Amino acid sequence: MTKYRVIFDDPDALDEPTKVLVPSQNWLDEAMAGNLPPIWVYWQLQDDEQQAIKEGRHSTFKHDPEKHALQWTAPRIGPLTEEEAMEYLCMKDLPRKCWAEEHNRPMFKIVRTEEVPSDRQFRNAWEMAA
Amino acid sequence: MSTIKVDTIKNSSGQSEISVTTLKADTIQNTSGASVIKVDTIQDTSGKGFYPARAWVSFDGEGTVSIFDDGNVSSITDNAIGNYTTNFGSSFASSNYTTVGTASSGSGAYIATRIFTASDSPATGSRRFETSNHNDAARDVPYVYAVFTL
Repeated sequence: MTKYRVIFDDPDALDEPTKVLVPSQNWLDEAMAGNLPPIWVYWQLQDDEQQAIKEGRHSTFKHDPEKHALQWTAPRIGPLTEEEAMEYLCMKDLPRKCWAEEHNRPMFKIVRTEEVPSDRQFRNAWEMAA
Repeated sequence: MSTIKVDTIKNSSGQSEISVTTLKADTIQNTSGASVIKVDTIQDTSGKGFYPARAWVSFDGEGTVSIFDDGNVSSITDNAIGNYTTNFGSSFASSNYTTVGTASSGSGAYIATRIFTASDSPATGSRRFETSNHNDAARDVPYVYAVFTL
């Protein structure tokens, strides 16, 4: 099992508690075996979907078939280390504003699993430490 | 002999669509030994389609949240008490896919799950949902299962 988690705040929802991203071991195995497409394949799909949301047509949204197929047909990027796979995952699954824009504090951090509290009694009050 | 390795199967007239009543095999592989089979649709001999799940996940929503197992899921996000997002390994082709889920407390004292009822349609790359108790209050539970299909 992976020893990493990602804690992050969504810049568009700063009133919400700090979130914890839990990687899939199956996905990490694929990443370390070199079976992922370039990250821009996902960004291209995200951009198209965001445009559809802006234009109010998301309820009937369909991806362009050729762009969608690139998830499987684009040349693979080759094997990643677990740490590289975690960085790739951040760029794929975190809100892009977390890492693509400047903020007055870090919006995410890759941590070891044991650094995430297991006591969830005050889960909705979690905040990232400075 | 329960392994069949072929690149193409055709009938005697050269068509590559073949109907069989029963196909029994432990493993079907291509000639290079890979066990991935790519098809656009799967049908029975009468033409009825099968619609397998495109993604699924089972995870522990208590303590330090962890994934038991999954298919086509890159990660889950623990957003808050009883509130999670599943991020897909490969995005769905459209936003009109279906999500079903269930959850268990393990003890049976409180068991209920509802899919997060956002007013917008689900993102093709992720789906946010909530687990709740019988009073509809968000609740962490140790067994959460979700299936997504299109």
